Amino acid sequence: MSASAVFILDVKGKPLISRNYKGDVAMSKIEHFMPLLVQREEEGALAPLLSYGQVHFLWIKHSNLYLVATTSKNANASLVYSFLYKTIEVFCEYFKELEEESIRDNFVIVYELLDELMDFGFPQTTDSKILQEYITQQSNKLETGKSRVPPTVTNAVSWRSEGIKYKKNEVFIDVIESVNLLVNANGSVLLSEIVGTIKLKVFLSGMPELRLGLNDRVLFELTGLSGGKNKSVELEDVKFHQCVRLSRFDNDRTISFIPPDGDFELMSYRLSTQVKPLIWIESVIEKFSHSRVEIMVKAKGQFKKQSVANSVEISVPVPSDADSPRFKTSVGSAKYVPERNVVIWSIKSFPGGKEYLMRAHFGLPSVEKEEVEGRPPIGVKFEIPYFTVSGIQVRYMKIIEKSGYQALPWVRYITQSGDYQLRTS
Amino acid sequence: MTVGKDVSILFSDVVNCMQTSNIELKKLVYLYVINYAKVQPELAILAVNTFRKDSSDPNPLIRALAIRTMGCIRLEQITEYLIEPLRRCLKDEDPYVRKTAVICIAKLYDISPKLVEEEGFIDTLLDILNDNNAMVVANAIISLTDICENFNKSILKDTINKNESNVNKLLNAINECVEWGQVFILDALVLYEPKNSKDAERVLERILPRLSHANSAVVLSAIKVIMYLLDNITDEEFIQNVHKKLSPSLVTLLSAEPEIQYIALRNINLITQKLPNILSDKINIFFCKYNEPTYVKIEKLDMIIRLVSEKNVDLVLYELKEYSTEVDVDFVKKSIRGIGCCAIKLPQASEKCINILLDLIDTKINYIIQECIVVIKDIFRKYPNKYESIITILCENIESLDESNAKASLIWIIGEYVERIKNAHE
Repeated sequence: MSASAVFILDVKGKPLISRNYKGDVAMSKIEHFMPLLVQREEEGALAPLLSYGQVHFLWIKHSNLYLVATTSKNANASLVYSFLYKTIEVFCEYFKELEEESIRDNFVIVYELLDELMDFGFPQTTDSKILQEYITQQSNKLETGKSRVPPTVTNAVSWRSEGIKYKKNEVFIDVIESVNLLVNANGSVLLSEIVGTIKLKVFLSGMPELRLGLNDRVLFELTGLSGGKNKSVELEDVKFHQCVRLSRFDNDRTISFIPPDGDFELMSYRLSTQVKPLIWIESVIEKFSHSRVEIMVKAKGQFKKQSVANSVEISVPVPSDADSPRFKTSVGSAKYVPERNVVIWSIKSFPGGKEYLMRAHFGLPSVEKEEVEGRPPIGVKFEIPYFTVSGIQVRYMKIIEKSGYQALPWVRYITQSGDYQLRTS
Repeated sequence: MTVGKDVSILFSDVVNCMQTSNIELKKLVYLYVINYAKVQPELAILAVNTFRKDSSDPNPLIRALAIRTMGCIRLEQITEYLIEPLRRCLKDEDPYVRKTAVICIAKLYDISPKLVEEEGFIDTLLDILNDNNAMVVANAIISLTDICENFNKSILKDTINKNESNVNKLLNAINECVEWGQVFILDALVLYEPKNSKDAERVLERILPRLSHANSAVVLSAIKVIMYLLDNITDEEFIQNVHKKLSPSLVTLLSAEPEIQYIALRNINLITQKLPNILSDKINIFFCKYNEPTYVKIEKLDMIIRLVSEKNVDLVLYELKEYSTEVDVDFVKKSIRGIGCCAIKLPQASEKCINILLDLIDTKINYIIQECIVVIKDIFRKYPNKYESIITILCENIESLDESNAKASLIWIIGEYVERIKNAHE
C-alpha cells in the first residue's frame, strides 16, 4: 500500500540518510538506483518511477538531493509523491535551505522527523508548525515532562494549537492571481487560464472561526443576488487547505474554517478566461545565417490605463552562438544573458495601454553550428498590484471567537505572470 | 552508523544508555537498537525490560516511542514480550499512543500472524473502528488494509459490507482526519459493495467534496472511488452532474508538480477510455509547453491523439507540426506518428496530414524523413491509391534512409505501386 523505505541521496546517488520502515525490501537495493537513472537519462526514457526487478524506485529531485522511496508492492503512487514533496517542505521549514549540507549537519533532527512523518510506510503527521512544537532544534532545552505531544496532533483540528495569544488581532489576506498563457507562432492564443491563490497571515488569539465571503457566481445564484449590479466571478475549480469544511462548501458555498496560526495558503482556484492577454508581444526575429540576427519586439499593455505593471521582464531567446549584442529600447534596459541564451528586456514600470519597442542586433559566426537548436518561447514576467484579471473580490471576512474580540482584516490584490509563453516562428 | 560503518560491537554499551531521561538520546538509542537487533539478538533481549518500563511512562511521547520501536524490531523472541504492553497501549487514554499502537498490530502481523490471531488482536482492531478519534480510526484502516492485502484476507471487505453503520463511521472519519488518513479511508471504500443505486448515490455525495482538497493524492483517491461507484448508479442525470464535477478536478491536477502530472495523465488516459466525453472539449490543456520534462510531454501527446476529432483537428495538426520541429528526437518521432494517427482516424483530415508530412520531409532532417516515410506507408495502407502523386517525392529521398523500418516501408510502397513507378527495379 505504501513505501517500504525512504532514502535521501546526494547528487552522486550515495545514501546520506535512510529509514527502513517495512523491512521487506533490502536496503542494499538502493545501489541500483543511480546507475539505472543515468542509463535511462542517456536513453532519453527518464521517468519518475524506475523499476529494477521487483523493486520500484519513486524519486524526486530537490537542489542537490534525491529523495527516493522504495517499494515492491502496488503502492499508491500519488500518495508517495505527495508525501515526498511534503517532506521537503517540512525540511525546508526546519533548515531554511535544504541541500546536502543541511542533512549532514542535522542528522539527529532528520532521524526524529523521519520517525514522526511516517510509520510502517504510511504517512502520519506532516504539519510542520505542529511538528516544531515537539521536535525542536534546541536539544539542550528538552527535559522530561516538558516535552509532550501536543494534543493537536490527534485532534480533529490538527493544524492549530490551543492557547495562542496576540495583543493585536489581525488577519492579512493576499489574493494573488497568476496568468498562464500559451500563444503559438502565428499569434493565436492556445491556452489562457488564471490560477489564483488566497494566502492568509493569521495573527489571532484562541480558536477563532473564520468565514470568507467572495463574489462567487454560484453563491450568488444560490442566494438570489445574481443579476444587475453585482459582478460575480465563475470559479471553475477550487481547492482548499485541509482546515476548510469541505462539506459545507459543497452544500451552500460557504467557506468556513479554523485557521492555522501564521501564514498558509487557504485556497487555490482556476478559471479559464477569454480575456485579452495582459501583455501582448509581437516579435520579428530575422536570422541571416553566417552573418547576423535582428530581433524586433513590440510589447503592448492590454490592461486598464490606471494600472501599472511593475518589474516587467521580457526574455527573448537568442541563438547560442550569437555575439556582439547591440540594443535599442524605447523604455527600460536590455541585457544579454549568455548563460541562458536570452536577452532580458527590463521595464520598471509599464502603464496600461502603452506600447514599447525594443530592437536587438547580434552577430553570428561564419561557421554554423551543426546541431539543431530548439526554439524556446518568449517569456514574460510582470506584476500588477491592486488588480485582478478575474474581478474576484473579498466581500467580507467574519471572525468569531468566544472571547469576542474585534479583529481587523486587510486585503491586498496582485496579478502576476504565471507560465507566460509566446512561441516564436 | 549513518555513514555505513558497522558499530554493532558497541551494542551492550548503547543499551546501558537506554535508561536515560533525555528524550533525544532515547530516540537515538532506540534507532540503534532497531538497526542492530538482528545482528545481536541475545543482547537485544536486554533492551526489552527498558521497553516495557517505557511503555508505562507518564509521558505519552515515550510510551508511543517504546511501542513503535518494539514493533520495528523484527525478532521472534521479542514479539512475545510485546503483547502485554501493546494490549495496554491500545486502551491508552492518549490518542497519540493509541494510534501508534494500532499500526503496531500490523507490524506484529507481518512478523508472526499466528500470534496476532491467537491473541485476538484482529477483533480488537475491528472494535477500534468505533474509536472517537479520527486519526486512530484511520490508522486502524491502514492496519486492516495492510494485513488483508499482504495475507489475502477479506476481513476488511466483510466488515465494511456488514452493515450500513460501518460505512457511515468511515465517511464521518474522512471529514475529521488528516489528509493522509483521508487517502487511506478512501482507498478502503473501494471495497464497499453498494446494495443498489440509491445507496451508491448516497455514499458518492459524501465523497464529492473531497475533490476540492488541496492534496492531489486525496483528489485522485476520491476520483477512484467515484469512478467505481458510478458503475452502480442508474440515474442518468445524477451521472451527468458527477461528470461535470469530475472534469475540472482532472484539469487542475495538471498544474501540480511534474511527477504528479505524470501520474494524473496516466490515470486520465484510463478514465477517458471509460468515459470518452469527459474531457472532449478541453484538448488545449494537453498542449505541451517548452520546458516540461519529456515523460510528461509524451503522455500529453498520447492524450491529444486520443481526443482529436473533426472539430479540433486543424489546431491539433498545427501543434503536432510545431512539436515535430523540436530538438528531442523521441518526442519528434512520436509527434510525426501522431500526425499519421490523425490521418487514419479522420478521413477528411488525411489530405492536410499528407501535406504536413511533405513539408516535414522538405526539412531534409534525417530522422524526420525516415519517420515520415513509415507513417506515409501506413496512410497508404488505409487509403489505397489515393495519394500516389507523392511517391516521386518519397523516392527522391531514398538515399537518406538508413533505419531498417524506413527502408522496409519504402520497399513496400514501391512494391505496391510498381505500375506507377518508372524505374521501380532500380
